[in-house]
Amino acid sequence: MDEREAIERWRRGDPEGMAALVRWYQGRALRIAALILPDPMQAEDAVQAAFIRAWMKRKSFHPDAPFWPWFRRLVANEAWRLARREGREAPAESGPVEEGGPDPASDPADGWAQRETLERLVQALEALSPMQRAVLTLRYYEAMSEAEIAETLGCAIGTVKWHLYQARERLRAWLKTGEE
Amino acid sequence: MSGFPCTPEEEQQLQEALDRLARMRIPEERDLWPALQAQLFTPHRRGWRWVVQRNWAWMAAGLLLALALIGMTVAPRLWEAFFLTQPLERDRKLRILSLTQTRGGVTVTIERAYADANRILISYRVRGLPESPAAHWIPVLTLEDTSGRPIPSLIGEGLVGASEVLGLSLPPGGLAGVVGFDPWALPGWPIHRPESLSLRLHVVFQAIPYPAPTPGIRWTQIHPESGPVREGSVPVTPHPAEGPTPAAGWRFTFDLTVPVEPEAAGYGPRTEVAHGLELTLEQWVWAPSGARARVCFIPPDPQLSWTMHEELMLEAQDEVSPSAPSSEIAGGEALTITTPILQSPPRQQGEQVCLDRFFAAPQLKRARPVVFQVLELVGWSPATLKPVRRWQGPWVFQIP
Repeated sequence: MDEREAIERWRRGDPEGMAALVRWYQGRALRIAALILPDPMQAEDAVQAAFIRAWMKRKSFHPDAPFWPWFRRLVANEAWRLARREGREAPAESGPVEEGGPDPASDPADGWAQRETLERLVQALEALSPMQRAVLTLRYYEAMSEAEIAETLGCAIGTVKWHLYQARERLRAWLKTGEE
Repeated sequence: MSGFPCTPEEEQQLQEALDRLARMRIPEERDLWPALQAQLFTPHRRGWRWVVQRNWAWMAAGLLLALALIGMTVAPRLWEAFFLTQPLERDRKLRILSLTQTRGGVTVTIERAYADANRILISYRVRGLPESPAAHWIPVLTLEDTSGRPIPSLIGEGLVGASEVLGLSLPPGGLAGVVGFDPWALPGWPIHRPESLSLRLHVVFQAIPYPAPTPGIRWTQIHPESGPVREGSVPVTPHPAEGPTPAAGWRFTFDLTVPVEPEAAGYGPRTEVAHGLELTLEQWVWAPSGARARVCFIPPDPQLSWTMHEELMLEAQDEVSPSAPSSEIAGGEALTITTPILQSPPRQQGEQVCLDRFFAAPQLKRARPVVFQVLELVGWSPATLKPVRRWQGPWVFQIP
């Protein structure tokens, strides 16, 4: 079964079509959700909820449209909804990373491609707030436009721009000094 | 140059780092289809909830009111649906841990933890348990401090499958629950409490045969030491021999650090006399998880097993949540009366018998002046489990 057939069967309410779409897109969806939600189980919850929403809304899906961009928005929306609810109680993610911080003596300009720098970048990403990580994920991991991100997260484009700016500044500061 | 990334190379590095972070958080391939299929395309098998008590017995009112509470609960979020964690989750007092281990295909995540003067709560989720036509798997959690001192469990609450009552559904092979432990077993407690507790939690699994397929059923285990079984309690003994045998690898150990909620208020000891019998309120401790009373007396007949009837009267201006897991019987306009949800088995202290009562009234904003009164003591025959002697009170304690 190819994607077009899977979409057709899914729209008709055929579980086989749904199963095919789940198995094709669940990995990618989980990775997006995991970047927004630090708890893997919550990431799974978000993706499951997105698939359930997709099933409920399948009749409104245009049969000729590609599935992923449409579904990706549901995933990001569900993950962000959960992240906002957890945000009030989650351990502060914006503080300095507790262990394994970068060596301030090294010059990051020397070797961005080095594995060590990549590790630092991963640590820096973990230290961002959920909102900052969400906009970075959608912008750079999913190549979404700022307008699409704003629509997905339910906020103004200006808000997206601001958080992108903040996130990028913090990444740069972290990579330069190991602290913000 | 401002911000990162600025160049196409940096963008590529950021994409790579994001991908690495995502794969670190979701390290293995997951197949969500079975869970989705169960939720979307199969009629919900009746889910069931259980309540496990060890060394404690439910009072009938507590059980019935807890059931009423569950009936009222529509919160979609898991930890707001369980009555043990509901108010604390709502007030954002539960510490998020998210400690995950996988062994033998079974994943256990310790999701939340909480400690205050009266209770330690651990919430967990499990996935990947094999389906069995005859039994559910239920985790047995044991807790100890860093010196290996056991901290007894008080009560457990859990969910398997789908609960229409709660509006919650867990995927096949998944379950979730909360266990409450008794910090009063720790030395110096509740007077001397550290800022945080370092604990070791062990998780093993036990097979429990399916109960009758009744929606929203609660399963209550009464420990033999818990004294007379009260009307309304449902003693169910697990029969591990009838169920499948847990895999040897299904043993999990977690080391946790849990901050201790500092908010607490204490009172006692105070002695009152009724009809010639002295009764001492040894300790009254209020904390966000609820209030707890320890009452001691020299029993009129030491051959009998003694329990008591008691109630807690709260000033009416106290804000009581409509979902409070306690009875709210209007005593005129002046008072609200609650009954305890937990009672301990009698504890022998020399000649004295001591009884603990736990009032789950965390919805009260603060311990306003309350009246705790023991209405009567009841002596039960150990042989017949019937009451054979009653000593009328009341013993009335005004708690400032």
